[in-house]
Amino acid sequence: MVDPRITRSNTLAGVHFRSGSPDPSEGFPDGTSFNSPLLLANVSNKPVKTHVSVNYTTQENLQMTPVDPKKDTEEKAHSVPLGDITIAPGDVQSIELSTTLAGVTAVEDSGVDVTYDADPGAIIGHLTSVDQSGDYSFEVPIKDPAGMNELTDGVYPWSIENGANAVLHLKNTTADDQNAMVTLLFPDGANYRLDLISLKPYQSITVDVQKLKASQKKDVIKQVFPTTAVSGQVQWRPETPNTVIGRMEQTDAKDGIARSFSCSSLCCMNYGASSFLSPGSLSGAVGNNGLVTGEYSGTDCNYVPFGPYVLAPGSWTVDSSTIASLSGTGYYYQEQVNYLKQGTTNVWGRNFNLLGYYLDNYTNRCRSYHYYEDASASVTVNPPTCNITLNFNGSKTPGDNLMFTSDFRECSEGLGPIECDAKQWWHLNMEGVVTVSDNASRWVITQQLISSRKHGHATDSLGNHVAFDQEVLPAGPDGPSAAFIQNPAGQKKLFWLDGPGHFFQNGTGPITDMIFTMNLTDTVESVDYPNVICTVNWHARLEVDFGPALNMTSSFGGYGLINLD
Amino acid sequence: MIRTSTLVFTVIVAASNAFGQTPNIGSLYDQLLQSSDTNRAAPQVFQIAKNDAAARNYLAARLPSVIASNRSENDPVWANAVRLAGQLKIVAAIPALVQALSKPAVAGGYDSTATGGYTFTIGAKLVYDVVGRALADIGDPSVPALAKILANGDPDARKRVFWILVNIDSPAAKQAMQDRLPNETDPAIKGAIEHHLGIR
Repeated sequence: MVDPRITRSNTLAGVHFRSGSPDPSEGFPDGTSFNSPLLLANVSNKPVKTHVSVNYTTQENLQMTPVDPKKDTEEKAHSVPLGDITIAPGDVQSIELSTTLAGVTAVEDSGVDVTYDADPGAIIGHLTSVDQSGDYSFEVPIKDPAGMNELTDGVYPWSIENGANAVLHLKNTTADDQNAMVTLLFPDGANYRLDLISLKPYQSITVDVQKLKASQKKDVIKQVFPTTAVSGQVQWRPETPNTVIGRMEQTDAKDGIARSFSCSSLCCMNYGASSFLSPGSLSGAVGNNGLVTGEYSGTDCNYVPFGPYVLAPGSWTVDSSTIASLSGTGYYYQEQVNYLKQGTTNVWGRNFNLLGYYLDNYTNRCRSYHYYEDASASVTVNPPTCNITLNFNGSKTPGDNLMFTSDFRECSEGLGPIECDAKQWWHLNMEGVVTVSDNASRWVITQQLISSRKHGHATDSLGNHVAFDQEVLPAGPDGPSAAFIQNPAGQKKLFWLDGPGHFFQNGTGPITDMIFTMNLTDTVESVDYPNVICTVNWHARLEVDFGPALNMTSSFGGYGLINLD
Repeated sequence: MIRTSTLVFTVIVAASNAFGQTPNIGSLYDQLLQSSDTNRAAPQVFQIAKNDAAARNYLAARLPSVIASNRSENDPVWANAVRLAGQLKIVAAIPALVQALSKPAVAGGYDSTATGGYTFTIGAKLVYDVVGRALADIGDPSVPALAKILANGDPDARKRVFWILVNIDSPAAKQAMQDRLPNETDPAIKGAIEHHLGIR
């Protein structure tokens, strides 16, 4: 029961009353069922009209395809008015809350809100959840959220030793959305920082410490709950003072022990928050992009850290729009930074709307005010990058629309050694793929024939078997032909094809056997950054056995230069 | 006055016939037709005819019939006749060259460097198609005849013509490809035309 003299508003609220059968994980005996009679007393000298409503949060299946495929349910807040009750001066009225939740499944948490048409302090309340045997009873503090004893921070102990449950209950006592920050502290000084908790109007929610530990879910700074931690403190604060009430309920049904903590501390002015962009510096190659997120974090008077939490700035800007540009991600708090040109610049989140706090000396209440900050992150844009891959087997890469058979002497779209009897040519079909960070159309590819040799035998016009051993083609530039280069603007892949090979004849007569080797170097160079080049050496080897027939095992293409054996 | 000029002109032409280059081109042409001499004579023929209209006209009157003859595509005489027709841009040879497209594509001519080795770049330059090279060297005058083959030829003929047009690479050549595009059914040719025209 609250001293009516410390109340400041004509509102009372309590969080987490029990109704019906408890969650089996709490360990109560089978058949346990709770009632929650709310007692309201009029301590004024006039009749007072009261308005009571029960709120509860359920987990419900998502009606739409979930954004996160692992999460197919969502929290839904409900509020059920129980009607108006007029209480005579000095009288006490009892209202059973549990009947409201009869038949409702998957209740996460529940709370009660009371408003009354009289001066603050006219109505006081008392709520106890008790089972049918009377062995288990839990007092639910009924408070004025704006009361003098409701300060800005909640600091409670928690313990999950020996299977005990420790659950933090938070309740929004206003008709507006509210946020709350929660940090768990461990005896060794470490902490676990929950993401910002959003509460719908009048919503009650739970933070189950044991479940949090078991989930091993990473907190906002990528920490996991220490597996050895079994006790500590929980510190929470509403973003806007006096909008949320909370309490830590610790239960051990097996030993019949229950504790409820709802102590507060006054940090108010000593809470400091600042905005920043994360990461603080970005870098990448021309054509790539990065994500930057607006965030804020702070510490209270006990140096307990809260956050960081995401926060949308009023706007996003970049100092040099030629070096980097910005585009939306669908989230106001996050922006995509597109790297356009080598250089350095800064991206800014402008006008982050932050809450500051001051102690109103007249009312001795902690009040909030808005202030605005800018935050920046440095952006370093490096020259574009390229990476060459060569394919000598199988099929061409999807997206490569070039065709080997565009060449008059080809008869296959496959990669690797090809014996084209119809055209009387042997080929080694290869595909080159250059992945660039910016724009394929801004790159030029050149090919050099480094060395080559063919040796074997051919039949001359007189039917003689004549040996040959010579260079296949003179070393030097060798295209590639534009007809076999695909590098359209706006794409990051450049493709090219080549099919080095040999005619079935050498000079005057048909070849009976041959070993053909060709070493080549391909170089891609950025048009915009002439010093940025990528080079690859490769070879083609064709072995024609007597017959003649192309030896598919000993004929191959590959990376690097090889001996002209 | 008129009579005097006509006389002077007649004297100059007669002198040229007797002592100028035309008799040399005739002699070289005779050597060009000999298998044993053709590769030695061909570069001399080219050197003379490239700067001498009369020599060029002399060849224009004769090379088409050599090209249209039933000589084999492997005959160096035939290959040199084709090569010279292209180098000297002899438009009169176009019908004979187009007719020669019915023969297999072969390397040839006195300046050929082809020894059987291949890359797509070598192929794209028509090193292994002496007739195609000649038609490409003649350039735009070849386009109407090539366009007809592109419209009516079999896939191999169309593909061969595509590469000749690629080497001509003039607006007229591109227009011929563009005109063919709606009706082209061979995916390799269609894709190659689209790629060359920058459509994809």
